[in-house]
Amino acid sequence: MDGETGRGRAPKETSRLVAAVTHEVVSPVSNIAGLSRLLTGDPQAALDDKTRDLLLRIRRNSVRLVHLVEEASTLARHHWELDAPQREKVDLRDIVDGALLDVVEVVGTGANGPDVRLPEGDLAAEGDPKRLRLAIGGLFLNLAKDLNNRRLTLALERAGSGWRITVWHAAIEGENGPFAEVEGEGGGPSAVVVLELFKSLGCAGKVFVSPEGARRIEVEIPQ
Amino acid sequence: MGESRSILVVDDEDDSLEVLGRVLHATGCTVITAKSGAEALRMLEGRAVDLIIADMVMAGVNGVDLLREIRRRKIGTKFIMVTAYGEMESYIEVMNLGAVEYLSKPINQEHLVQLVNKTIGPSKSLTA
Repeated sequence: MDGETGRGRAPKETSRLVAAVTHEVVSPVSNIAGLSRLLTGDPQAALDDKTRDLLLRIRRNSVRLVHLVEEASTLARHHWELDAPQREKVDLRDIVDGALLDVVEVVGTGANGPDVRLPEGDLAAEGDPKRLRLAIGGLFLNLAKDLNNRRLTLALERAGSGWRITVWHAAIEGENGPFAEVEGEGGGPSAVVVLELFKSLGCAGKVFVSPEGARRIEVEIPQ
Repeated sequence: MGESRSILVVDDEDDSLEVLGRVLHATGCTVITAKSGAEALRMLEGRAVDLIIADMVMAGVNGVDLLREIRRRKIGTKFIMVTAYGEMESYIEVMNLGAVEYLSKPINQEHLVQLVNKTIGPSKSLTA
């Protein structure tokens, strides 16, 4: 099969098509949901119960349709392997260094810059170097933004058969808890998106949220 | 009496502008709208705003181009990117360009208001 058109390597046009179709369908349907939400939430709109119920059903169905389109889009991306990472043996030290260069451009160095603790010895891991760099950089950026650009600390250590990256914030450093363990949604949208990127690499991860809303993300990268 | 928060909403779809404009106006914000990235850039030459909310996919100057050009001009205005297509790489890219947040459609209106309040503070006129 032709590598440029086959399943294993989708052309950029395919990726753009999936994105364009998703956008062109999701945008107007989202507007239907948003407009019906405005109507049902407007106290000045004189709506009887039946009309209000119909609007709620319109909104519910439009949101459902958006989710269906998103699922179809995800399936299409997987079918054409648009999301497939290129796995190879990487040196995590290089990856972290690269990610930090990205982060420094945004949050700067010094008091706001991240502090990295790396263990001695071999830091080999399996993964897509580009995605790992994006993920680690994104993790820093998200936490820096969520926590008002205060100092962040990242520790990389061996854990079982892989590596664990722990990031925490200076303000909560030394605080042992109590942390409420929350899987997925508890971390808020930013943390969860980054965590999902890690998971797409085959990494295990958890988001911890303190009662005050502070976040801690732990990720294990398979070795 | 505090000054009203000003938000520039950029989208090439009238209905999206209508929805976002009404939701934000109801929270006490002054909302101005632009139907393209190019129009938004012209508006920003004449006035400053507290926050820009832009759709990522637009004809011509899209949301990413707009954010990139704003940063090139050293305009530090906070920026929220809206998209119907949640792709990881684009998420990281816009965050690297200095976007505050990345919102997926359909936008949860309560979440949007919370995010705006977190980003530029709650409306003084409503909290006073």
